[in-house]
Amino acid sequence: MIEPMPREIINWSILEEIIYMDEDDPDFSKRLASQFVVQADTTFAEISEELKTNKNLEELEKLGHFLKGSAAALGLQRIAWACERIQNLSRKVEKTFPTKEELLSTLPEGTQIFDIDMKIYDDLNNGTPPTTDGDELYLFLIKRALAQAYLEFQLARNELSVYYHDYLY
Amino acid sequence: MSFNHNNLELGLPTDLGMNHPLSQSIDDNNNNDGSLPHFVSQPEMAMHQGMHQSPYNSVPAPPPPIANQTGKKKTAGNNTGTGKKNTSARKQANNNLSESGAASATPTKPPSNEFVRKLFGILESNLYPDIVRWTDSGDSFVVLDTGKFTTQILPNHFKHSNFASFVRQLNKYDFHKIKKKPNEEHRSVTGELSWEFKHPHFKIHDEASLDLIKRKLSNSKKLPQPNNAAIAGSTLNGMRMNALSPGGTPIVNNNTMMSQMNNGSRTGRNGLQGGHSATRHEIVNAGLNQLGITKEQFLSHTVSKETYTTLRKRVDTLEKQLEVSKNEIFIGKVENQKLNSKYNTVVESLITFKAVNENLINNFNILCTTLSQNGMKLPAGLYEQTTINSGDDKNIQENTGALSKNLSVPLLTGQPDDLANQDQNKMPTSNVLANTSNLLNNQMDGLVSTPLMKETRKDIQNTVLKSGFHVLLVEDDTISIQLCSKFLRKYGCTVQVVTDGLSAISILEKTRFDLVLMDIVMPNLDGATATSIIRNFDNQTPIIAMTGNIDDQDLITYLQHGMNDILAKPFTRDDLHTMLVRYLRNREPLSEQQRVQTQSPQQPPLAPQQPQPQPQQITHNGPPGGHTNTQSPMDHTQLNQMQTMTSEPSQNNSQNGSINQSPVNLVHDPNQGSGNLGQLNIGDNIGVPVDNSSDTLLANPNFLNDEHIDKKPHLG
Repeated sequence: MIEPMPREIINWSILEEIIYMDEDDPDFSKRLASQFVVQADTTFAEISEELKTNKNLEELEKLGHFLKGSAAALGLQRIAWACERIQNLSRKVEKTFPTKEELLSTLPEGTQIFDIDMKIYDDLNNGTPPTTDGDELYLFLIKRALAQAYLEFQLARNELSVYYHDYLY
Repeated sequence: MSFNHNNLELGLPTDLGMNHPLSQSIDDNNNNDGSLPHFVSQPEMAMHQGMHQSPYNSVPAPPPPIANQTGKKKTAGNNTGTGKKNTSARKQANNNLSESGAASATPTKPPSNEFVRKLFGILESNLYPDIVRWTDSGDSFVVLDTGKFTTQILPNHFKHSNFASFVRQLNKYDFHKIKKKPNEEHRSVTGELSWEFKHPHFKIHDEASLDLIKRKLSNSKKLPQPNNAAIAGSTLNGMRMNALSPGGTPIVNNNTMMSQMNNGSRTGRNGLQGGHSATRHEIVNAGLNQLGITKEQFLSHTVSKETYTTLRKRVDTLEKQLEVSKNEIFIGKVENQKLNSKYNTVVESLITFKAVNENLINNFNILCTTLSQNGMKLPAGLYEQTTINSGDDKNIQENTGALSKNLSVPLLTGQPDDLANQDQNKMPTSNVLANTSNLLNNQMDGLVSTPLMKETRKDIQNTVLKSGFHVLLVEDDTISIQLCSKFLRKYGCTVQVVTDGLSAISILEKTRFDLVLMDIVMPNLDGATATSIIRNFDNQTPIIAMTGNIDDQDLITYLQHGMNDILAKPFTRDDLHTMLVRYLRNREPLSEQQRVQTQSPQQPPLAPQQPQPQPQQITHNGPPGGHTNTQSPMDHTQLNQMQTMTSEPSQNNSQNGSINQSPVNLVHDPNQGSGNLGQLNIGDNIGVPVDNSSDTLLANPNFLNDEHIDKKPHLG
C-alpha cells in the first residue's frame, strides 16, 4: 500500500525551524533552498538520463533516495513523496503509481500550475504501460514518478520564490 | 548541470517561457488579498532554458510564517519594467474602484449638484478673473489658466488638484467643452490654453436654473469583464479622451437633445432599481453619441459583478475552511478520548504487572539474603544493586510526589482547554497511563529497548547540554549536512563532517568523538556496515543512525549492526536535541575529560564512557568500581578490548537478571545499552525491561510525552 501523498506542498513547520536559523545567519534558509533547487535540477537530469540510457534500477534508487533526503529536510514533502516512489519502484517493493488525476486532486485548492509545467508533466506521463512484468514496467512507472516529482518541484519552487520574494534558480 | 527538458524526450517550443498569460496574473492579483506586491515577468533565464518559468507573483501566497514583507528584497533588473507597468495598471484599477465606491452612493441621496453650485459661486464672486470667469456672453465659463486653476482653485475648493478629474466632473453634469474656432474672437481674449465649458442651464447670475443641472445617469449595460484592470483602465482613458480632446468630443449644441437626455436621466434614475426603463431604451435607440460616455461612466462607478463574485467566493472558501477546521478539532477531541480510554486499559494491566514484579523482586531479595547467609558467594555487585534498587523506592515515592505536582504542566500544553480540564480530574492516572502505553507499545513493537524511550519535550528543553561535545556527522547530502551541523552548533557542539562510511571509519580510528550521527545510504560504504566495522575497535561511542527508511526490518538491522539509536529523517531540531540529551546528558565532553586527564593521570581515561552507568555513579560517590582501568598508557584498541572484557560480565548480568538494574539508569542513562545493543537479541528481551522500568515509569514525569502519542514510537 502506497502511503498517501501529503496535501501541502511545503511543510511549513519543518521549514520554519530552518528559517528560525536565519536569526543569527541571515539568508541561511534561502541559501539552502537555492542549493536544493540546483541539486534537484541536477538530480532530475540524472534520473532522466538514467531512464534513457543505462536503465539501472539500483542507480535510480540511489538518486531517488538522495533527493528525497534533501527535499524532506526542507519540508518539501510532496517532492519527497514522489522521490520515495522512485526509490521504492526501483527496489521493486512497489508496483503501482497513482494516476495523475488522483495526484493532482491532492493539491491544495487554488494551486496554479503553469502551462509549461503541465505540458512537461503530460508529456512525461504519456504512453501505455508495458504489459510485461519486467524492468520495463518499473521504468515506466519511475518515469511517471519523475514527472510528478518534477511538477512538485516547480510548485515548491514557486511557493518558495513567493516566500523569499526572489526567484530561486 | 541544469535540467534540460530535452532529456525528458520532449519537443518543446523555444518560447515556452513566454507563454505565461500576463493578464491572467493581473487578474489573480486583483482578486488576491494584495499581499503579492510584485508583478514580475519571466526571468530571462527562463526563456533560455524553457524550464525556469513560473512568475511567482501569481502563485497564491503561502501562509508566511514571518511578517509579511511587502517590499521585494531583490528584483532582477529586467523585471522592473514590466513590474512598473503592471503596477500602474493596477493603480488605475484601484482608482476606478474607489471612485465607484463613492459614486455608487450618490443615487441614493437626494439629487445634489453641490459641485455645480460651488463652481457657480466661484464664478459669481469673480475672485479669480485671471484664472476662471464667465464668458462675455454669460452662458458659458472659461478657464483661462489651467495651471493656476489646478494648483490654486482646485485644492481650495474641490480638495484635489487634478484638472482632468475636474473636467470629468463637469462632463458628468453634462457640461461640454466649447470647441475653439480659429476665427472667433475668443482666441485673442482667452488665449490658446483656455478651456471653455457650457451647459444650457449654467448662466451668469441665474442661480435658479442650477436646479436643472443634474448628474447624468448611465446605461446599465456592462462590458464583459469590467473588473479586468486593462479594460477598466482603457475605459478610463477613453473617458478622459472624450472629455479632453478638443476635437473629438461630441459637443451637444442641440438643446432638444440635451433636455431629452436630461429627461431620460431623471426617469432612468427612478427606474434604475427596477431595471431598464422604457425611456432608457429610447435613449439607447436614439443612438446618441453621448450614450457611449454615459455607459462608460456608469461602468466606472459600479462594483462589478465580477468583483462581487470574487469576494463572494472568497467568503465561501473561508467559511469552508472554518468548517474543516472545526471538524478537525472535533476529530481531535474524539481521538483524544479514545486514547485516554486505551491508556486506562493499559495502565490496569501495567499495575497488575507491577505487583507481580514487586513480588518477584522481594522473592529475589529473600533468596539473595538467604544465599549469602548460607555462605554462598554472590556475583559481585548483584546484591549491592538489589539494595540500591530498594533504596530507589524512596526516590520513586518522592518522584511520584513531584510527578503529581508537575502533572498539569505537560498536560496543558498542546491540548484543547476543555480536554485538559477534563484530564486534570483524572490526571495522575491518565498521565501515567499515557507513559505506560508508550513504553509498552515500544516494547511490543520489539524495536525498542529502554534507551530509545523518549523524554518529554519539556524535560528536554529544560535540559541544557554541556557545550563542547565533539560530534562526527557522516552524511553525503550537502543540505542535510548544513542543516544538521547548524542545529548541532546551536546546541554547543563542535562538528566534523565526513561524507561516506569509509571516511567515517578512518577518522574514528584516529579521533574520538562524543557522538556519531551516521547516515545509512551513502556512497562507498553504507552507514550500517561502517558501524559494524567501527564496533570492532570502538564499542563506546554512541552511533546514531539517521535514516528516512523507517521499515521495521531495516531498523532492527541497524541496531544489530551496533548502532545505538535511530533518528528518523526528516528530523526536527527537537528530535535532534532529544537524541543529544539522551546520549550526552550525563557526560562530560571528551575534550574536557582529556584536560582533566592530563592534570591527574591516575584517572581512568575512559571511565565516564563506560557502558555501565551504575558503577560509574558509584565511582562518583565512593570507591571506584571494579573495572576501573588504571593502565592509561594503553592504545585505544587495547583499552577498548579491556573495557569490553571487564564490562561484559556485568553486562550479561544486566541482561539475564535485569531486575537488578537500576530503573533510573535504565531510563535516564542510555549508556547502559551503548555498544551492546548490537548483541542484544531484542525479541528475547521484550518484557524484561518493562518490569524494570515500570517503577521508574510510574515515578518519572519524563514519560508524560504527549508528542509520543501521535508519532510512531521513535522510529516513525
